[in-house]
Amino acid sequence: MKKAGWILIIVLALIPVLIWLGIEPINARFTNFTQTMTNLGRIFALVGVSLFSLTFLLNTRLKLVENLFGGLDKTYKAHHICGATAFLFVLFHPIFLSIQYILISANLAAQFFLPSLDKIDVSAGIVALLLMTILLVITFFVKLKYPNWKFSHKFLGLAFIFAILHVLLISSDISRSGALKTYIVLMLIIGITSFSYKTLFYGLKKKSVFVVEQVKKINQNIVEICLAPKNHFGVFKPGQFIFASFKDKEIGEEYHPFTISSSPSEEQLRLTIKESGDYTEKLKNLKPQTKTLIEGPYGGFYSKKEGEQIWIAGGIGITPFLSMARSIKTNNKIDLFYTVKEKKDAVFIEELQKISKQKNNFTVHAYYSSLQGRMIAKNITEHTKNIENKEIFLCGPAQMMLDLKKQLISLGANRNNIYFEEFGLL
Amino acid sequence: MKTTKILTGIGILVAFSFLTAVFVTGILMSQNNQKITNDALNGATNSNFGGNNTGANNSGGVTLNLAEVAKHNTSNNCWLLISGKIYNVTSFLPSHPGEAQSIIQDCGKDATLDFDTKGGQGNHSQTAQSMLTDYYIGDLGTIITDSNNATKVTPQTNPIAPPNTRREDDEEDDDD
Repeated sequence: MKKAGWILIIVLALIPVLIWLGIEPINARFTNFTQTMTNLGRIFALVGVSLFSLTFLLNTRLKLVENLFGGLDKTYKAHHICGATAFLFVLFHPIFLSIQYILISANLAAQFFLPSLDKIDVSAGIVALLLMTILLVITFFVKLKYPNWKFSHKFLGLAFIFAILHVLLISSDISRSGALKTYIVLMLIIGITSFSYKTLFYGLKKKSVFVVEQVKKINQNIVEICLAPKNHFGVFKPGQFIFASFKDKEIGEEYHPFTISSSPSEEQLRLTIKESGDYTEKLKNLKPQTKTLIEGPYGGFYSKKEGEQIWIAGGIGITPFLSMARSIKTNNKIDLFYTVKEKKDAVFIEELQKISKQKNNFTVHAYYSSLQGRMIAKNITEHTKNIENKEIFLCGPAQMMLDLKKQLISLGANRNNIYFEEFGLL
Repeated sequence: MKTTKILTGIGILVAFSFLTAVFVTGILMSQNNQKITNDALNGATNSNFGGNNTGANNSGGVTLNLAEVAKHNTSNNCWLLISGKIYNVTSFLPSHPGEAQSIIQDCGKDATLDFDTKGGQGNHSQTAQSMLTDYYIGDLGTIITDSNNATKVTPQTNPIAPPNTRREDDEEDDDD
């Protein structure tokens, strides 16, 4: 199931190439160097524009799409990779096409890359690509503040509109073949609909209303925000996250993702947040009674089957496990490995140990990296056997999750049973 | 996440080094070309090359760009751009085996794809490829010196031949 989304994307991006090859057989397309380069350029355009359209779909937060990828965090990761790949294909599309001109003269090739009013169709493509380049340089290499970045990122929709003009105006295999045209236009419609839905109509979607009840300082840089519901909030599974917007001008009213740390049975919704940037630093100043809009829940970080589980938390990565521990229903064995730097950082250890005393199947293993070094998979297998059949949940710093995942797989864990949060992307 | 960032960075770098290289050589070459064209013009004037050139007509050159090609977009005056080369096919129109109409729609435009794919039906023959060279005017982006001959629409006479150096490239390219 986790791979279904990816397979679908690859298939959807390759279909136009297959239709294109059907218009004319491969041997007629690649007879000499010039032709090969030109046709590679054409393939790059078809794959690029399909992926570009799908990138917008991956940004819609639709449940259907989320399910294909096994969680919204994974869907955003796909959006990220799909977008970057689309950009690379689109970027090299004119470069391959220009080879035919370069072989004649560089001057001619330079002319090919320059926009002009005489060739609106080509120029639209050039504008789209320039805009895409600028916006993706911003995304990847300029550290903008989140709301500014988000604003800039919306202009990719404009780049897409120019790309649509380019695709529809230029005389090409697309304008010549009915089947190819139908498919590509369908892709473009998916893209533009997704974009309009997300930028124009998404604000109208109904959100759940909460008010801040209490902001509790857990330690120097962790706060717990307790929210009381003002209207109905749907059921969530422990381990899921929401997007919250606090209506406070000084803090910033944009939506940010937070893991829920309370149990679904509690009346209030609790978010446990570590200061890690401009925005989260300000959250300790939240005042009670601040109106809060919540969207969600999202994410696939929860058990999918009956059986034993291993939970691995690094630092503030404990938050989903707080919700999970506070609402344990199963009698199957659960081992929680809570790794922090020093003893004083294990802020939730007391509560977790208390739960562990009440629930015989739940064991907490604290691990201090300043004393014991970085945690490796062996530290886990020392305490729990048969990892091949267990569901394993990882939440913590990205590098730690990747390393542990790799090590656990090499010790026999089943790749499909490993879950981890891709929080950096939300 | 990191990998996508690195790959995107490399992609942008490669693409922009490529573009810079193209533009720098393009500019250098266009300066050279102009010199050559001027030299050629002067030479032609001095030796009274072409017979009808009485000199001081240095501005008579026509730059073969897309705008110029676009002017020749009728069945009485039809230029085609195919793989960066420009052809005046007006005189050929009536004898095209695949109907004149199939070419006329491309007059004044880049017809590379239509020529390569026979309008989406296959490949042109070797003969067709070599016939094309008879109608060659010049490469896109170059300056031709005798605009009168090139643009004159006389269905019976062929347009002017390219400068002899280019003819060689031409034949090489058409070995497809």
